[in-house]
This record gives sequence, structure tokens and C-alpha cells, in this order.
Amino acid sequence: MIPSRLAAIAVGLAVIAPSVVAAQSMSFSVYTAPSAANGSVTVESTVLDYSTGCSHWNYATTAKIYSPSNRSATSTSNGLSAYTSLSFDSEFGTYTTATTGTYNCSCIFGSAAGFGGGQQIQVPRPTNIELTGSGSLGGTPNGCSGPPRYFKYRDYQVKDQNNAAISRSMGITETFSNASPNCFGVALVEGGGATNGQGQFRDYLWLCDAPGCNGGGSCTLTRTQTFSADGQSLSPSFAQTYTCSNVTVQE
Amino acid sequence: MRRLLLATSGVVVIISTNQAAAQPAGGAQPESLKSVVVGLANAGVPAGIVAAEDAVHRGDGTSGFSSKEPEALRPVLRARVAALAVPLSTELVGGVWHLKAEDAPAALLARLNRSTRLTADVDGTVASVLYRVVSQALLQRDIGGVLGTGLFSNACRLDQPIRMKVGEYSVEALLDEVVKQAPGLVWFVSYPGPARATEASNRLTFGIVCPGGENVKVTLSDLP
Repeated sequence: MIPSRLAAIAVGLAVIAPSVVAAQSMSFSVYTAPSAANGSVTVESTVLDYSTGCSHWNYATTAKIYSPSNRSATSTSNGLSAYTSLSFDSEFGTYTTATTGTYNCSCIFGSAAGFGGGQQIQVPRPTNIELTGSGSLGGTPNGCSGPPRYFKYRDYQVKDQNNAAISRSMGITETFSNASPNCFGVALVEGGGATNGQGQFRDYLWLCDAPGCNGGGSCTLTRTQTFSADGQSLSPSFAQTYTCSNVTVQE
Repeated sequence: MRRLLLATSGVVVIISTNQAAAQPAGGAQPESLKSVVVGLANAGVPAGIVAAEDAVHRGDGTSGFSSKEPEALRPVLRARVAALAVPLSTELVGGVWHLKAEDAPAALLARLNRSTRLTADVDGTVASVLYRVVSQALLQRDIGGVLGTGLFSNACRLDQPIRMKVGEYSVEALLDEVVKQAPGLVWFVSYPGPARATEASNRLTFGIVCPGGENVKVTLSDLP
């Protein structure tokens, strides 16, 4: 089924082949539906053949994507649909997508004919990050044998260089620098994932079962946290300070 | 809307589209290792990867494999691995596919073969086995709990129950057992990269890749 935003656009045209007396209507709708998510541009190409009066067969449809520097992906399928994808590979800007295809037609004595169309899609470069909420959570985080010493979250929105929110799913990673020694005696665990379709994600922070804090022990671990979205480092970085009783995060 | 006018053998056809026309040209893009790894996770193929950090985590992750039966998978997997920019060996070990970078540091591979003994059955979860049992095997000392940060979604089923039976295991065997008991996960061990492998030889990162490409990683330093 064609999505509503791609509502059918059918145009008919009377075509008279030299040896055919009756009029034929040759009508194709070509839908090129690009999207950008999870590090790639994908395109779904769908063609509807509304033609009447002629027999068509041997359809082949090709979906194509071109990056701003003309890297490309192409896929051809028999039939009236095709799909392909092209990873961003750190390249942002305007991507061009296209649908082309061929078929054979009885009204032109079985000769080949074609169809085509295309569309552009903007892929903004992730540049900035904005804190949109924070708080504490109940429950037991994964890997803990009991209640944690603390279990917090921070919600973020990924933005472009113009500080506009980016509305697509983006892969998120975090890196740490300037880390002090791990005096807690625990495993340092990181989760990597993706934003939702609005470019938002939740960062969890917790500490549990820390031998370095038992028996009145104390420990402080500091480090600088930097997020990346789709491989692009985001500003600002954050100074994390973990103690036995709390974690604080500052720009 | 744009209409394309095509003339073929004297017949004129008008095509309606929802978009403007485009006619560029170019070639295909090579697949990334991450795409292969996530494809294995998406297909529920038990597997483990040893490679440089950039190779494991960079690229997209939307692919799959049409079969997870070893004989059907073998030629497809080997063909995709052979097409990667990273030279990898491919081996099926006890039902788990091992993909290892041919330039992986020898000291790291030796650590993965280091033996550890579980003196009693361990009933835990994917998370607890990774964070504690595997970490202890690598560090060769007890490790406490967890300092966690990052994104953890339900796509990564870290709460799946795992039973590790008493016995002798290498680090690789422990990781293999996790992915055999928790389908849809692929283990990885990564190192900073060939250029920095020597200077950072007492540090490594291991973890799992989940369907869709989410991952959980544990970083250990001061390895013996």
C-alpha cells in the first residue's frame, strides 16, 4: 500500500501506436521515497502502472542514491519496486535519490520503454547537544545484584550547527577522556544505541556493588564525557564526577 | 510533481512522479564490518568478533542473513567477509562463528585463550555474566559491581537468563556460551587499533552487539 503522503498521482495520455487503431492510455506513477536514519539514506522506489489498452511485461525498477560528493548506491529489481541504502560515511548535506525503470510494451511491438523520477533529501550534520531533562530512577539497573547506590538519567536532544533539532534516528556513542583511576573496583560499562526518530535519547548513570565504597570507604572518579551522533562529535562535553553516593554532570 | 516525456519507437509516454527528476551516475559502496556483525545479530547467528574499535563500531547496521544454518551460511558469510576492507579470518567453533582481524595483537588473542575455572554453576543474566564472570576471567581477580553509563534500550536483552556450568573455560568460551544461550547477540572484543595496539596492550574493550546495532561494552585496563 502506498503511504498517504505519497497519494497516487495518475496522469493519463492517449497514445496511438502506428499499427494500433484503438487509443491506449499509458500512465505511470513513480514514487521515490527517501529517508535518513541510523547512519544511512534509504530509498524505496514504487511504480504504479495505470496504463490501459497495452500489455506491459518484463518490468525492471532501479533505486539510486547519490551523496553530495557523488558516492552512490544502486539496486535493480525485477518488478515495480526497488530499495537501496547508502551510509552517510561522515558526509552530510543534500542527497539525491532517483527511480528509473524499463518494461516491454505490446503497443510498440514489444520494444522497451522506460520511466523515471527522483527527489532530494537533506541530511543535517549533528553538531550540538542540549539537555532537556534529568532525574532519578527506581529499580535495579542491569548487572546489579541489588538496589544501586544511585540510578539517574539525563535526556538529550541532538541539534545541527544552526541549533535546530534534528528529527531522525542517529547512532549515539560516548567517549571518555581525562579519567581518574577507577577506585570503585567495578566494571566500567557503556551502552551505545540510537536516538528516537526525533533525535532524542536518554543517558543512564548508575553505580552498584562497589567494593571501594564498602565499610565507609570513599572514592571519586572524574572524567570528561563526549557524545557523538552518526560519528560526529557533539558540543558541549560534560564533566562527570562519580562518588559513592552521587554522580554530578556539568558542562 | 514532474512529468517525464519519453520517446521510444515513435510512441510517446508521459509519466507522473511525486518528485523532481535526477540523473546522476556513480558506483557502489563497500559494506562495513559493522553491517556484517549487525546482520549476524539480526539473523540470530551466534558469533564473536575480534577487531579494531573503529572497524567494529563504524558504519551502518541494517543488513541480515537469509539463513543461520552453518552450511548455508558459510559461503555467504565468507563472501561478505572477503569483500570487507578489513582482512578477517572466519572459523566455526563449537557452533559459534569467529571473525578475527588478521592483524589482531597476539597478546590480546592470548588473553582470550587464557583459562579460568568456574568452581560452581553460575545462574545469572547476560549482563551479570559479561560484567562479572568475563571481567574476572580477563582480570584474574574478583570484580565488584558496575559503574554504568550510556544508552540501554529494550532491544538489547541483557536480562536474558544464562547458566554457566562448573568447569574450565577460556575467555572466548565464556563469551561463546553467552551468545549460544542468548540468541540474537554477537560478542566482540576490540582494541584501539594497530597503531596503538602495543602502547595500550594492557587495555581492551569487550561486549555484545544486539539486533539493530545497539551495543554494550565493558572497558578493562590494568590487565595482567
